Amino acid sequence: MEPDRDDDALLVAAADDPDAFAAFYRLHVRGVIAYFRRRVRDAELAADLTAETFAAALDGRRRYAPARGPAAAWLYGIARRQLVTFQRRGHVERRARRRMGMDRIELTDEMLERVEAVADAELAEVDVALAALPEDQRAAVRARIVEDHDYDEIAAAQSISEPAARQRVSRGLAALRARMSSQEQP
Amino acid sequence: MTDFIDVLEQQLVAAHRRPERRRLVTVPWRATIVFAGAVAAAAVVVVAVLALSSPSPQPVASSPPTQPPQTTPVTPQPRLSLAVLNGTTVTGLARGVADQLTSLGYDEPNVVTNDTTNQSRVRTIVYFEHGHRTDALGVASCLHIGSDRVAPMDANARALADRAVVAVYVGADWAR
Repeated sequence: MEPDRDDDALLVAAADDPDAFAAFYRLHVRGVIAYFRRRVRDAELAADLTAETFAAALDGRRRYAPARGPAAAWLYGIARRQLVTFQRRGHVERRARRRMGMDRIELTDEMLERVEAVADAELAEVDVALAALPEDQRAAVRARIVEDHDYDEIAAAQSISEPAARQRVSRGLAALRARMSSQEQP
Repeated sequence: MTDFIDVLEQQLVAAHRRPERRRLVTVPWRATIVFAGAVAAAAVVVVAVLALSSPSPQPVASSPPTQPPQTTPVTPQPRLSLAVLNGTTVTGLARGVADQLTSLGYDEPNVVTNDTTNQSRVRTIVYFEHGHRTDALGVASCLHIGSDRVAPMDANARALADRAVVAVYVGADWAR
């Protein structure tokens, strides 16, 4: 089973197919919310950053090339840039949403609670799934996705080449997703 | 119950289905202001050049209508009840912050200078009441204060802020 291939194919198809983009979104939105929630510690900001990240992904979907890496890494690269911009400027960027004609979502307390719950559940699931990975993959995925290290840093820390570090992260993510999607299906 | 994830999905799918040509005409408001400012400045220059280059009393056949003086518009900010508190012994710090906020388009903040409970505050913090975090982030951004220094209102700040929803508690770092 190679979920990454499906994921990459979905993003390629999303260039012209709104339903494919929606499927790609549904596959990753919880992970992206959790990614931001872990870093900004505020559900409202996490939701705002998530919306801008997917608007930027929608805007730039034609620039994605599977040969350059997995779709998940591409998406989290966008998320990371949004986070850096937010930390530098002190406010969440709205450029992509404006370009895509998307309004700001007014979040009610109920919606924020739900975002919070999604983030908590996702973080707990990721922790459990991460623990089940082989040691080398777990260290690589944690370094890349949780701690935001670059591939060259991961390669140096694990005494492997940069392509090997990328492959380790990619395989780890694929295994994570396989585990988590199998948990979703009773 | 409306769900953020569902609402965002609807927005993304709608944006995907929208013809791309329409998106290109969406101009950010900042760019609109810059463009309008450039047009106004060009008009002023043209009027000035015409005025200086034609000293003769003969009237110009089609002189442009007199423009009112152009002033830089202040960015409209949300109407907020603001307070600025001085957490140091340096006089005038809170007033300076209040003036800066007013010049940026905020309503005149309530300047609290009678706080004797804490005059040794090191870091400037922007406090907010429930539901006003985004407003507080906006204020912090205007003052070039990082989001790590935006926090929910504590009892001490609330007591002094007198019903303000966002309170800037100025610390010694502001004086540097």
